Amino acid sequence: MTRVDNTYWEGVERGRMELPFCAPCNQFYFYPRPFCPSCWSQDVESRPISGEGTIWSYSVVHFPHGPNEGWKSRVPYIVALISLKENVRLMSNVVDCPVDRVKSGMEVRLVYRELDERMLPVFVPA
Amino acid sequence: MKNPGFIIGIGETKVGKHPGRSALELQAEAVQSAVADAGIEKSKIDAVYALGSYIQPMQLHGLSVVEFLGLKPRFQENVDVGGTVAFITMILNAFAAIEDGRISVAVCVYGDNAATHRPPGTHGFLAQMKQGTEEYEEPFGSSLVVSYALLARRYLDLYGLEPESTFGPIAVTLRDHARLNSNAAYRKPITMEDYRASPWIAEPFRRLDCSPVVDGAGAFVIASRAETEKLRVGFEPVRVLGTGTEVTHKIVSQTPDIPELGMRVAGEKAFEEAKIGHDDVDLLTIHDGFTASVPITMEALGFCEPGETSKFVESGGITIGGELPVNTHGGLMSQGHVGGVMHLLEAVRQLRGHAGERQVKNAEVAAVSGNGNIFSICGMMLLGKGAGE
Repeated sequence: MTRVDNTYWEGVERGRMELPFCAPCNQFYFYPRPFCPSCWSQDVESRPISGEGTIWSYSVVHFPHGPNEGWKSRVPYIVALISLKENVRLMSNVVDCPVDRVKSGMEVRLVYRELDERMLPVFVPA
Repeated sequence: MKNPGFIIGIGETKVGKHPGRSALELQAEAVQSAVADAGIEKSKIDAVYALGSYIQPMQLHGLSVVEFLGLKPRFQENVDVGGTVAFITMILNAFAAIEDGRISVAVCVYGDNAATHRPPGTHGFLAQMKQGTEEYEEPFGSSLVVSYALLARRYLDLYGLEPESTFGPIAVTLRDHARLNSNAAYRKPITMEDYRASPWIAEPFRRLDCSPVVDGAGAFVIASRAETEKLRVGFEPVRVLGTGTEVTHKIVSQTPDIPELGMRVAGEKAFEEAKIGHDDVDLLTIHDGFTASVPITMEALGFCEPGETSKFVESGGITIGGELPVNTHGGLMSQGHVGGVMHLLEAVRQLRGHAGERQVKNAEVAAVSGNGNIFSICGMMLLGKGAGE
């Protein structure tokens, strides 16, 4: 069995994000764990995704409280919850978008950017 | 509901800064104060329900409280629930144990020293609060504040509201309440102008949308019906009319949408159990970690129509003389963030008629609501004055 929680970050590193898909439920889920949180089936696999989504909500951060000191030099930046076309919601950043332009409902597209010496899945306006 | 016991004692430390004092020491002081208020013998305590410090966390926290205070109870528990629902849960646990005949008297406590004992350079409770799924959030520069801000923005956009007119008057009103509470950490009045000048933290939150961390502790005592009758305390006990709780998610990306938050079901359950309606509620406490908690909670509980809380606030509805006073003690926003335990103590104080200048007239029923984490653990408990039937 392939561990879907490992393939998530491996896929991101390759610039090809995959998300876990539950065969019995016929739906994707997030975040990755080795079984479907809805039906508990272990009949799950990692599948590529479209990379298309919309902004469900967002925050322009001016004063980072997080443990990663690096963010202090990147303000203001956008943290968003993205609804993917695959019907899952995840947290990410919206980049290449002026902070006064970001809006809920905005269509976005998945890209990969290197940050703090690792690849991250982030979104740009579609 | 039929009450196997009652809330018969409350106590709290000074809220503010206690440099050099441990969270455990603050909790002990609050317990001693609550036990004195109840007028009960220390030896009668046979259960301790405690919530440990978020800043100086330790395993078996309840056990530390027991030993520190020299107690010999039958049960001790660390009730790691959060968001005022911890105290609702403690009451339910105590009632169940009383009903089973296992205990007669319980003390419940929380306290922290988040203001003076944070690791250098850290803010709020973040330093120690781990969700277990950081890999999906931390790389994006998120935090507890950002998570809450995301839910707040969703709320605003769902109903087409502006942050300033929706959240600002709440910050101003709660500060106004704190003015009447000598044990509030932030009592200097603020205006809408101050609110607008307050710097952004994580939009839609300005600094004045966020509750400040403080040092302080609060405790309360629960006794069985038989013990309460023996005590003949100088004031009326407080009983539970109905309770509802609902748990839905942990991290914000997994939250149900605003209209489906667990708070709605929790509220319905509490009213159903209490067999009373919204109009019977004389005051409400809300776990106001952020200003946005107020409208989201009030609408989910059915006190206001979706998106309409700001109109109610604008009309003075949540003020002490208003239609439904909210957080008459100043709340987390202006008394300071003591985990929500002060919300329960305030409800008891109001029902006893001991709230002094900020007393709500003829307060018979108080609703204590809360949300742990990011509206993850929701709950409401309806409290009534006196022993009831």
